[in-house]
Amino acid sequence: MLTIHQLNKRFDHLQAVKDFNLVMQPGEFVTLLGPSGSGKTTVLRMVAGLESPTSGSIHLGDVDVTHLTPQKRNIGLVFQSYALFPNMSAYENIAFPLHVRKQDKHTIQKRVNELLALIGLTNRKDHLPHQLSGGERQRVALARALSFHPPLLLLDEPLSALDAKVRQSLRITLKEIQRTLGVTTLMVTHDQEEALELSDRIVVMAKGAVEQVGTAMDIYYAPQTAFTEGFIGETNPITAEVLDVIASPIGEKIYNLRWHHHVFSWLADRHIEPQGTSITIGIRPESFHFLPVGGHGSIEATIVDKLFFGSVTRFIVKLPDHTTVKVDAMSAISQQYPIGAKVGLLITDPRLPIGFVDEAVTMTANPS
Amino acid sequence: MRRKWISKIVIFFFILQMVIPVIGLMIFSIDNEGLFTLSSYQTLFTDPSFLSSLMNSLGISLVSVVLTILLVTPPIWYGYLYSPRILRVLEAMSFITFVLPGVVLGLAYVQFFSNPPFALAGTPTLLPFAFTLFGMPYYMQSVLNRLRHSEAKLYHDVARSLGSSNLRSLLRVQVPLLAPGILIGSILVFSIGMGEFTITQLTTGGSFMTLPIYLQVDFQNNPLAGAAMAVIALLIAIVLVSLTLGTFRRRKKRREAIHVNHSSVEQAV
Amino acid sequence: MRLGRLLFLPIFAFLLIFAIIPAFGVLSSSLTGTHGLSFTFYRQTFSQQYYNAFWTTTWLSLTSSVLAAIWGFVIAFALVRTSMTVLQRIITALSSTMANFAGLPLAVAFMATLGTSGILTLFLQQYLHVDIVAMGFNLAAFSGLFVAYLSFLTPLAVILMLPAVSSLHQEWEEAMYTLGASFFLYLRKVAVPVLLPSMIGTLGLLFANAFSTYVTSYELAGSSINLVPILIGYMVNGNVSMNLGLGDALSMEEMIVLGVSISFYFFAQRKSLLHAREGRSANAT
Repeated sequence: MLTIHQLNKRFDHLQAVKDFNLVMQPGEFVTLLGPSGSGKTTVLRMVAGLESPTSGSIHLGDVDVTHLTPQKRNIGLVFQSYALFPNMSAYENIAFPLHVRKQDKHTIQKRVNELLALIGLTNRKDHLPHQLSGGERQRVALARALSFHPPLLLLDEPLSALDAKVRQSLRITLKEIQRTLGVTTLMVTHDQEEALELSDRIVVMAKGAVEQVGTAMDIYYAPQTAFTEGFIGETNPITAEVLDVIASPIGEKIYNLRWHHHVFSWLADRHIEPQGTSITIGIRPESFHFLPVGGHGSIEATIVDKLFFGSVTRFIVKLPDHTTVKVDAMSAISQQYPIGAKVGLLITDPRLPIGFVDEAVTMTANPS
Repeated sequence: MRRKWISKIVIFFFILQMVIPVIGLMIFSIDNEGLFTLSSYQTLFTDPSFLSSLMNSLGISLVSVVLTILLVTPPIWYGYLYSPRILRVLEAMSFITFVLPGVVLGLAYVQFFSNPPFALAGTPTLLPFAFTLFGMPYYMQSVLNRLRHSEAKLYHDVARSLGSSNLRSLLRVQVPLLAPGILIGSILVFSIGMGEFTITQLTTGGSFMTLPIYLQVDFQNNPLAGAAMAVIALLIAIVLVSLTLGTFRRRKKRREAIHVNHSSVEQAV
Repeated sequence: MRLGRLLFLPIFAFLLIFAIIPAFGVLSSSLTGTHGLSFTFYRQTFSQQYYNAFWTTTWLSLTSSVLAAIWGFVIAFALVRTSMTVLQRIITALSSTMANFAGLPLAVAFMATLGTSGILTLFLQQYLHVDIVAMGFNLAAFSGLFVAYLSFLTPLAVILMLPAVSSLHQEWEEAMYTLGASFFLYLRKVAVPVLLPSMIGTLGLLFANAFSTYVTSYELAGSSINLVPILIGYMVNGNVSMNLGLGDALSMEEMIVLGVSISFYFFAQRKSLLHAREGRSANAT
């Protein structure tokens, strides 16, 4: 659908984008995720035709659009600042690209009303942009970008100008609309939660280059570079002993690992290789679980601090060797674990079926 | 796509439009039938009436500046902090100058101030008041801009919460805070004073020599010296404008600069 | 605290004595004939000479301010699009300087440049064999004043338009392009409609400025052109005859013209969509 090959962009002395490659399947939702200055917006603008690449090519289907003007690309773009025309009502904004394409009155009317219904703003269609709320404006901008049936939809930080609550509900709307219409979508964001929630695939970018491409699960649980690991969520780096390597039913490698006498299974990823008999992996705070002390091969640990985050509570837990790890648990159970309490600590890999531990290994590792 | 070259051509023509009369004037002032001469400048600087009109202009402009600062700054400051409604009335009233151009005001002054107890027409006494009136909207805007952008109220409250008296806060905190606004406003008033012709001519009947009056008379008698005089007026304008812009540059508030420059305009005409 | 309001006393007294009372003086003496209330002076202003003066002043002000507003818009637009801050600074400085230079010195500069023995006039004659005087150009007539007015109205227009033009969002233009529209459609459908209030406001201010211009026309044309401010000036220091009452009536009429055109400026400022843009609430108009 969209094929980007060896794309480069230089601004004077700044290499904004470096050897960027991406192939998107029809209907796919791909997100470019990175901090500001990572070049993600520049890639998007080059796809839209608002910036011309220094080298490389962009194909839309079989058509080379690298040097086409934005007008001829027929791509829908939603701007971070909405960019609704301030002198046109919601209706006129959505109808505008159809007027440009010289469609007949009846078709325009039908299409715009259909879109207004889709975004739930039929009763606000005659309002000017400044009379609409931020969320409403963004929905109109989305409808405008979709009105002319573009084969590709680009979203530039579509939700970042909105407050948290609206953002949450608009994420769901966005995903629903994208699924309903099946439009291929490329989004740019610096918000990892947004990326994880919405995307089929995520491209993590830093300093103009691609750090990692993968599904949300891949990116979250198997960050391949220190940058990705640090950028997305929090991790506890641990060094565990490799006991065994087995193949999963679908052919992936699974390690059986031992850490502080606790044995657990961990889905291998291509990037991290054992160093001799030990391996360093990043464990997400919510991949730890509490058990009663001494329960089922768990590590005996002490809770030293608790931070209430709302639905989740973060525990700072001290291990037998006096190092600490961060553990997240649902707040509903946090009352059972006061500061100073002793607990048993387990690790489970959320990508594996619940309780997946090779029993045979557990036996051999714990002869006692 | 952005067609920058068209933009550059447009700007080039604008600069040309601005610069042609200036270049013409400069050449005219040093041209003695094809030969270079500075005699016109020499005549000018040795003419005692030029020097006295320069002193008159400087004096009257400085008096206008002092009058404006004393008259306008306190109510604006107080109004901004405590009585925004009265301030709004004052702001609206200051725009009366837009419908009272020089000729009309001159005519009004000649009639109103020709009888005792205000028999001031024919003397330069009225001029500082007229210049203050003309400069008021610009001075007000530049001080108000400063008040808006410097959180004057916050600092006033902070100073008082730390135990400072009102007067002490005013002198030690507020005046330094407002200084750039006062300075720019003063330059605007000063440049009005240096360039004003209409009121001066109408209310004093030309008996009080200021630079513009001198220029008008001089150009009729001796166009070369008049042109030299106009070049000097240009230099004064350049100095004054770069002073205002320089003050802004240091504060790096470009948007504000555009805003006040717009007020620096439109007088004099 | 209330005592602080006394600070307003001097300035209101000042405005009263030096603006409002004199203005009312003009109003009352324009209506005072030999036997009390009278419209004699106003009737006089409708005679051929003064009627012509209003017509000429209006026509000169309208043509020069409309052209200056359009040209100023083009310049401000071009300036924003170069996105070169240095150039923008230079132009802002140049515009302010020219606006400060306006009045008498500018008139002198025009006589030195485009007068009958002006530098440019002679240059065109000698080197390009273009005789602008023979072509009907006269600094002391409509054509000359038109050119001179443009040279102080244009920088004023640029300075007035620049804030509005620079607050046009670049995304609006880009959105236009991604939706398939051309640059001219962007101008027609977004840029001009959005800037229209500010253009009308600027035009109002420019017109008022041109209409009340005295020094430039006095120096360039003197009595050889029939303009309202010049006639008012003559009523005061008239070489012919001092007729204050007639001057008062003319002044009142001029003030009405100025008041109307200035009110366009204030009205347009309130209307501007650029200011409403950030509003979030749904009840804003």
